[in-house]
Amino acid sequence: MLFVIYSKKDLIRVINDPEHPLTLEELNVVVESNIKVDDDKNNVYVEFVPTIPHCSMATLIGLSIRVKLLRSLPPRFKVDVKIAPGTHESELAVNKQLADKERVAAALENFHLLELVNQCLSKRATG
Amino acid sequence: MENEIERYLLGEPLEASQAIASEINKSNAKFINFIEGLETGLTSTDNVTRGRATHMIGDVVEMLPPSFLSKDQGDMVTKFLLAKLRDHHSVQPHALQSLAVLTSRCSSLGDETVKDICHTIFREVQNQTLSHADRGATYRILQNLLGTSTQALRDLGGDFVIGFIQQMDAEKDPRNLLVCFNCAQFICSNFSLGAFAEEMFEILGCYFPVDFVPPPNNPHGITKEELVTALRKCFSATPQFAEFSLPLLLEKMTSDLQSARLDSFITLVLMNISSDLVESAKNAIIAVYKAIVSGTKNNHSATENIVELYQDIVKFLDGPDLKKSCLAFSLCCAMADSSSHAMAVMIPLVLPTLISRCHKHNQVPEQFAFVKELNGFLYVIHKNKENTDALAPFQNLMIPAFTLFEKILECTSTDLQLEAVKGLSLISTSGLADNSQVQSFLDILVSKSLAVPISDLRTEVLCSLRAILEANPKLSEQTIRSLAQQSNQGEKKLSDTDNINMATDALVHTVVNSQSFTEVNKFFLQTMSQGGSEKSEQIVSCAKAMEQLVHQISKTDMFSQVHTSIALPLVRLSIQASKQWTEESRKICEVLMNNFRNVFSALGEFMDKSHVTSLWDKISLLFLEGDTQDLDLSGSLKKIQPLLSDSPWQQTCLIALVEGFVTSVDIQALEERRDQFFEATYVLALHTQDEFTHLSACRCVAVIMNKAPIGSQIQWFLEPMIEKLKMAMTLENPLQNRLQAVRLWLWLTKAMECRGHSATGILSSHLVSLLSDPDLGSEVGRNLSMVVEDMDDIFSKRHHSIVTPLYKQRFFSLNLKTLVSGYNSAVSIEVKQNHLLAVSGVVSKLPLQVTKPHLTLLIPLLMLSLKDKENPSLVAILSSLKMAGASAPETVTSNIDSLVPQLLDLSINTVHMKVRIAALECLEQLTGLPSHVLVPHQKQVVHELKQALDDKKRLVRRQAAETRSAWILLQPEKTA
Repeated sequence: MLFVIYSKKDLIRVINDPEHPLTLEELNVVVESNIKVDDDKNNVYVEFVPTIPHCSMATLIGLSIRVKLLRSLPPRFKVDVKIAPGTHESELAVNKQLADKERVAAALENFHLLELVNQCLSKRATG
Repeated sequence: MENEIERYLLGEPLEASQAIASEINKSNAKFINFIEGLETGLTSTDNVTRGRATHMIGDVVEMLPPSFLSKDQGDMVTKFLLAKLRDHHSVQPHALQSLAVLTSRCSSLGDETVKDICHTIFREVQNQTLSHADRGATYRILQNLLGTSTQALRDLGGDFVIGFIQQMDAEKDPRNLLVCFNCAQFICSNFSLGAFAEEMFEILGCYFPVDFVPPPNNPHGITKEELVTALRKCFSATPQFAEFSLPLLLEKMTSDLQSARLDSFITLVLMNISSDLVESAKNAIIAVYKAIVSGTKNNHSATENIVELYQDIVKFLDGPDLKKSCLAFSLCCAMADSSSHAMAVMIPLVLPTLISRCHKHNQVPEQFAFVKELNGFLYVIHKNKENTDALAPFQNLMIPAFTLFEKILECTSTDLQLEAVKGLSLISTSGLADNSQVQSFLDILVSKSLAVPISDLRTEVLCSLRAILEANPKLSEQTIRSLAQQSNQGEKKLSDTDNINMATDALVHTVVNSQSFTEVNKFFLQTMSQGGSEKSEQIVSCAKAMEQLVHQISKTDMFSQVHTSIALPLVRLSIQASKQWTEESRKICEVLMNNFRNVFSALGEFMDKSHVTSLWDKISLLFLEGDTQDLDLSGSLKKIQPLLSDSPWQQTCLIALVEGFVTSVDIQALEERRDQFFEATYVLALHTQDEFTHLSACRCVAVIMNKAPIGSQIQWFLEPMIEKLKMAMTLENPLQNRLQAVRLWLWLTKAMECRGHSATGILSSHLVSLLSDPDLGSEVGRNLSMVVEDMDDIFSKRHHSIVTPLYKQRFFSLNLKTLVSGYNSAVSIEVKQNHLLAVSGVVSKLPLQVTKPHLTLLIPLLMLSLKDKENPSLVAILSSLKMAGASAPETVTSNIDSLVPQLLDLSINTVHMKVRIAALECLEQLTGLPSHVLVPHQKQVVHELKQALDDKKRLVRRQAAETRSAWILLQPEKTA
């Protein structure tokens, strides 16, 4: 790959876990090896590992990652966010939700949900 | 039941309580019935009966299985017993005993109850007045609570700590002390001691060192060792103790008792001390053992002491805990450092273990830690290198160390290599290595010095090279020869300029005595005189090395020869070379001359006055009158006139040599021909056609004006000069000359501003007025900032210049108004542009603190100057603006509508990455402003920054992402 997007993790490193005062990187929810970037085909593929298999916040984490990437990447990229296989009980349902563009858009219209996501994305000094 | 209670109260406690307990246990009776049955006993007016009844509760509970009582029952009984603590003093001990039983049997007491227990005990119980068994009961209660309800006690905070300290005060019984130490250790490691750290330490420290002899037969089975370990655990429980315990331990180390010293030493190893304390501990150990060894008359007992200590500590040296064993090694090392006798005993004992540990660890961090300790020992040996008798036995010990280091040098970690070079250098310079080892190390160093790029490792390699050659001057000749060969070979390959630089750099470090100096110097001069453009790299690198060489020998007696060995040959060389320069090699000539200037500057800095005068005599004669007699130039070039503006540039550029010299020497030493020289330089600066010569001559004039002795003489110089310059700037002169006059004027202003001369007002105000000149304005605008620029290589105290403090601030505050009003009143766009350039340049060179009070005035101007994308100080302006956003938000707010689009434009459309990043950072900083100002721009910013997200530079992309998300996260202010 000629053109490395960012040091990939830079982007996601500052997302806070909704349940912990730590970032996703510190919790190993997102690790560099689970992020794949194909610059030529404009694809970004992120897999994350929820802290526990029945983590109720998995959707929110996925949504936050998605939003963060949407905000930080040039619009030409197609972003895929998924739960790493076998790490969550309702993996399929969550993945389906995350992949559904309309549902994501609708979620972001929801003021409360947006505020939650923003809370996750704001720098720790303010949050 | 009642009968049993009667029996108990009458004096058959054991059977009675057993009977009752088994009844309750079998559910034949209830606990509550038992308490009810006790009523008469508990309410009796006789203190003894009441006491016994209270005691009975404890005895019965003890017989019941653990956790038999429910939480409520436990809380209730506890409350009752706490009330009994306030009863008659003879009842109190019984209540304590029962409480002790209750707290151990009831693991689920409520948090409030636990707090209540502590408060009541701390308030009601005077522990020191009780018997040892009852004191023990108090401690047991606290211990039980610590085990079961840690969090509740932690909530009590300092109250609990100080309460415990008061209860424990003056305890002497070893059985109780064991419990106390146990509690104290738990408290120290689990509670925050806060302000009571010192009190806690005081109460524990008074037991150190433990001095306890168990009574015959030792009925309680408590040994001294148990107490010692318990106390040590307390000391090492928290790092907060380190600062208090260190003085204590060190004081005890001065004790006459060997056992006390040993105990202190081992406690020290076990303690949680931080690295800065390790250093002071080591120093203290050195002092202590120095005193001990000099105090004992016979060496034998000192040896015994050390060996004994070693035997006690050896388990740490070999132990698995890396931190402890390193600390143990470094304390041993401190002891070895205390005297040569201690060294002679200690090192053979410890070193083999240490070396084997270095070998054993493959992980870099661990190996590094041990190698560092090893070097500590080698340093001690090195310190004693005069004492050859003491060192002789170590020769064999060094062989494995040598192989270890050679092995490490092959690894990839530079940190490890650095330590290995240090170690080898210490061994070699201590005289412990034989000739072949030194030679092989030297070979390694030479090859490393040619391969390792600039880093700490390189510095160490070169320092070691020098140290070794200093210790073995005989080897230097051969080393120089091989390095010189490398330098020449590098040129043949024509590939690697780094290689040449490294070789010359290493050569400088081989200069250790006058012989090697002569040789290296000869090599440099020879290389440079061979000339030819194909060797340019090597020549320039030699010229650079020459300056380094001057710095290096400046403090030695070799420096007395520089006059003849460096200065004059360089002049001769430059004159000879001046014949060879062609238009193609002009660039190289300028680079070389710049380097020569630095050499002369260095020479002038370190020469004493008489040498300066005599060198000045020769140089000034040569430059003013073309007198080349002293230089014994060969043949063709008889006459040179470097100070005449009509001379070819090859000659006039020689002025750089004098410039360097004049820059750094004390002007008092240049009495003769100074005025004449000044006059000539001044004319040269005005009229020469060569840019390089012009700049150099300008600097020459500025330096002389800056250093000129205080008095009327300056005025005498200055007035005609100002007149002449003003004449030269008039319209009838060709533009080239007018520009040169302006530049000279700038340099003069700089010189006079630096010394805070009264004439600066005229100079600088004229400069500012020149900004309105259509031809000269842009030159002034672009260069005005040099007046407030730091120029340490030209104007500085070490160069005997006159630099008044705060001169930049003065210039800024005196001229700011004129600059701003000049901008406002200017009509043409060019003139406005010139003013903007000048303001932004000056602001960018000044520290932010200076400009801060004027930001309100400056921000509009700075923003306008952002429009010019060619402005060289864009980054600095942007950072000023960024700071302004934090310190003067009102001004920024009022300008935000024009600022945001400008910043967006800069962050996307400028060529330089740094400008783009600075603009983005500035935008991010803006998000700190009140959001009603920002929200109107939010959409635009968020939209346009999409483009910056796809920037071709990674750092820009990163900043763009941050800035963009900061803008996205802006929240409209909540309407109340």
